[in-house]
Amino acid sequence: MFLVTEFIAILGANLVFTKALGTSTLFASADSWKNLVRTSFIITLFAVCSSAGAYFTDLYTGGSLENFRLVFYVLETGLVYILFLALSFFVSRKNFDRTKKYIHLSAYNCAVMGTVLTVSGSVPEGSLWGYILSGLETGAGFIIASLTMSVAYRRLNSVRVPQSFREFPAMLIYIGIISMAVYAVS
Amino acid sequence: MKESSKKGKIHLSDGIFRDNTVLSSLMVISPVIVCGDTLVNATAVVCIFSLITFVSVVIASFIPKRLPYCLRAILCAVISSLVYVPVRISAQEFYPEIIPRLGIYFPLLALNSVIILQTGAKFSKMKKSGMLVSLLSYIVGFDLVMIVTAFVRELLAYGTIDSRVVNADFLVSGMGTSFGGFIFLGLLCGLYRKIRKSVTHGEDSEGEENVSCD
Repeated sequence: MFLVTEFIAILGANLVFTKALGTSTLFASADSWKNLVRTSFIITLFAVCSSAGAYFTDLYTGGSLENFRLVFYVLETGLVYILFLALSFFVSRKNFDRTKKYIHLSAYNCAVMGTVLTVSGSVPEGSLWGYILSGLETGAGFIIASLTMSVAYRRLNSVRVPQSFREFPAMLIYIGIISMAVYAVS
Repeated sequence: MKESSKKGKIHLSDGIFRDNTVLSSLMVISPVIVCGDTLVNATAVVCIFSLITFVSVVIASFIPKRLPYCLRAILCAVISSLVYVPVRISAQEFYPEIIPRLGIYFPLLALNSVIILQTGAKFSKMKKSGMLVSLLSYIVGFDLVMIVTAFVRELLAYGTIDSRVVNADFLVSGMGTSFGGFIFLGLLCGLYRKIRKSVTHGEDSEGEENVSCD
């Protein structure tokens, strides 16, 4: 029962189905299973690190700096972006060209920045773990959305679908139906 | 995004019809889906998006092209987040009731993919005059989709137009939710492709769309 409740909670907090964040990224990487897995993994990492960074931003900005909070979020996500690129370069130079595509795709992604902006102020002060957990939830939500999309991708692109609705229009309607189910469940 | 024109000329209608920001490239779709349920919201989003995107892209077009891609993307994001600050202060004066309703989508408008991705990939490679025309066309393309979506969804979901009650026979309350937004945008996207194909006599074949990462 606990797992079911947690699963529903993750579905309810799913940024793709409930807030339409990261939908285009999902479509862009939906053409292959490998792309979806890699994109989901990198987005999860970005969401976790950027959320952790947001904790420190929230801790040290406030008052007169309130209006500049977005600038600080952008800077800390930029730092994560550079760190990830450097890390992937030093870990595997052979695969760097392939990996950097996913990093470029995920940095400043709506899902990542949406997580940072959502978590800001919604977690009790002083709770770094709460920020990290929020990033992990985003990643889990994106993985669930990826799985849901990958199951139907071929059918949504089949010749049975009218040509004008093939690919993105069909995918949008499909996500809309899943989103309706999530809305009802949560 | 595709090249705007095969002959290299840039027309104002390119970003509106040929390669619409939302319907063709699926850029900036989350505000359309979530905030595009009333005309009042749509008007605020349109004004904020247009202002932030135009100013940010124009400033960001001066970023040296020789910089690595990631640095250019970071600089674009920093510029747009700085542009966001005065826009946020002004918007709170002009739209005091709507801004809280937009929630996280307001700051996210400053980090949209027209600014972050297309500045480096498209706009910075163009001449300034061409860039301005192209940029305006993509902004107007988004604005039109936002307004049309909000008009239809508000009418169907709440039976109002710009908050004025009209004599609507039936309401589809789901149209006011995010899933209604997904479904409506999917239908609009299909209709757009159908019309575009019939107008261009099938020149724009399927799969030509290039989804950006928003």
